[in-house]
Amino acid sequence: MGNIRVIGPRSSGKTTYLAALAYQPEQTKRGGRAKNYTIQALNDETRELAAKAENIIVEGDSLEPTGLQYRTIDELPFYSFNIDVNFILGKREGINLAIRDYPGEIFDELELGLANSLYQEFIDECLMKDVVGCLILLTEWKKGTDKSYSRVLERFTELMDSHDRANDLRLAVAMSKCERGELWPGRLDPEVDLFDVHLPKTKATLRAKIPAKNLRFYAISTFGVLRRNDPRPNRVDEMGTDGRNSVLREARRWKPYGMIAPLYWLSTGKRMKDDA
Amino acid sequence: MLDWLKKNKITGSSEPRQSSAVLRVIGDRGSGKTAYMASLARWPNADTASPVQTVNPVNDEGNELVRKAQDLLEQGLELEPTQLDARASDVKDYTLSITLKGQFSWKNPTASMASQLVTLNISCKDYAGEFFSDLLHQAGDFRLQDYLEDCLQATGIMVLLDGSSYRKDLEYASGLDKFLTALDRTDISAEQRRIALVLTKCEQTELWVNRHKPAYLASARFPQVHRKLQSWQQMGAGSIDYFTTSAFGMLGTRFQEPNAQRLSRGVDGVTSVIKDPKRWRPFGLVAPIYWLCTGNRHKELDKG
Repeated sequence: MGNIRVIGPRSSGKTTYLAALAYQPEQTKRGGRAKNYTIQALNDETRELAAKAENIIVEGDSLEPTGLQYRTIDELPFYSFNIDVNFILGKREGINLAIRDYPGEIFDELELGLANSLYQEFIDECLMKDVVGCLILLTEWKKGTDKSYSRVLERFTELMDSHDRANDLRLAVAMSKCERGELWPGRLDPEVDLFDVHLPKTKATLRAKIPAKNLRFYAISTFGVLRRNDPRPNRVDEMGTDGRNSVLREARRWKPYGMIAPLYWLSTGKRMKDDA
Repeated sequence: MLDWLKKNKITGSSEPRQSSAVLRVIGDRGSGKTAYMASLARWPNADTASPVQTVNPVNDEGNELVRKAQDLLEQGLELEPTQLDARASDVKDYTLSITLKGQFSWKNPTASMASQLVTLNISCKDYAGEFFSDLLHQAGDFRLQDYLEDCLQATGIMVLLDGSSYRKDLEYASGLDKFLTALDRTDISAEQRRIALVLTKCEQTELWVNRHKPAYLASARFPQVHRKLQSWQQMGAGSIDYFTTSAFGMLGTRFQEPNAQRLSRGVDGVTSVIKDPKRWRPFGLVAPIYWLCTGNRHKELDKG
């Protein structure tokens, strides 16, 4: 149960991630592998996203960046999911989530300071008391990125503090697109093998500012890899009209990694197996 | 001894318990006051498991509410804004009678065994939203004073806030502040009042996930209003409690989704119409009324 926000820089895969969540039910119906969870889309906005997901993920249609088409926060959709998690011994738990993803510009703008009232509105909404947690998607590690991420997140923690959320907002910080060869082996212990290695400053900033119980690190791959013994990314980048678009390489073998675990932790505070 | 037993038997089971209340419903324009009242009067697709047995309109105004619900809401249309009458005495006084099935209670096992009914008789005026904005912007107006006088007759006040209008928290808090101060000034009897803060439109996804925690939701989304009301209570002026409701309710049982088609969303909150009128079943409407009548929360009513 709870409200969750997804934030992260531009092209960090926020909307693709949510589209994949919404698309999951379709996928399982087609005889995909049995998983320990089932997802149900619960409103029209989520179903629209699911319909788009097929084009985005399988056909590689270009996904317009979230943000450019929104003039006010009210136009931004709320996605709603029910996730049933099956535990061993037949125990089941259902969680009901309301999720919103913010335009990447919001994240980038944090570094410069909040310039306009629209951004202020986003931050106020993000840090409202009935939001249980934020999923922060990070994606780059090229030179200088660590420094810039850590500045942005430093600023974010200050805002958390000024909104009286310093001690009661969970942050799931995830490296997205972990099907990339350099990252895939690090998924098993993301805090050590991804964040300590690629984004040490960012990690240190967060560890210093956020209570340990409210901070966890994750690895997410919306596309996954081909097979257990063929860890090539199940993704090809196609050149579209407006640059690179990612598509599933073998749609039949689609097996996303780590999509549910961060949401489950954000909403309940309890851990489940990280690969879910 | 025998006499005493007889007497007790009669009072214990035959007559339904009655509770009455005079209520006033206030809230911003578009906070869903009339939709609340109309849904309550219509009471569509009653759940057999619900503790509410029947809702009956008692006077003509009550019947008019039912008509409104049938003619507009069930056609998937929007309700017209209620016009602000010149005098509070002209505002329609809806009278409804709500019958609840008996509750088993350990305190009074024999009475509850006999499926004792509880009847809530309410007469209720729903002020136009302008009343609330007038509070904010003009003081000392004659009409405002007249409405406040009218409010004094009420034993319970329902303050309705559209749960998604959180950006008006400060505005609402200052409106309520003026309202409570004025009420206090006008009232010489120093009567204890109950105020129910009712968050409406909780079928909306972001509110629905926290519907079971009304006090938490109110404090999270309307911190200033919450603070104001809590301090009012602490001063001993009366008591306050929080509720979540939806005039439209949800569709489905296992995977519930809003039975509402959204038309707009903005600073003032959301506007929507019913999506599937055939499956229209409102959520949480009687819980605040039960509390306003009796001072106790009803566990089953809180569930829906």
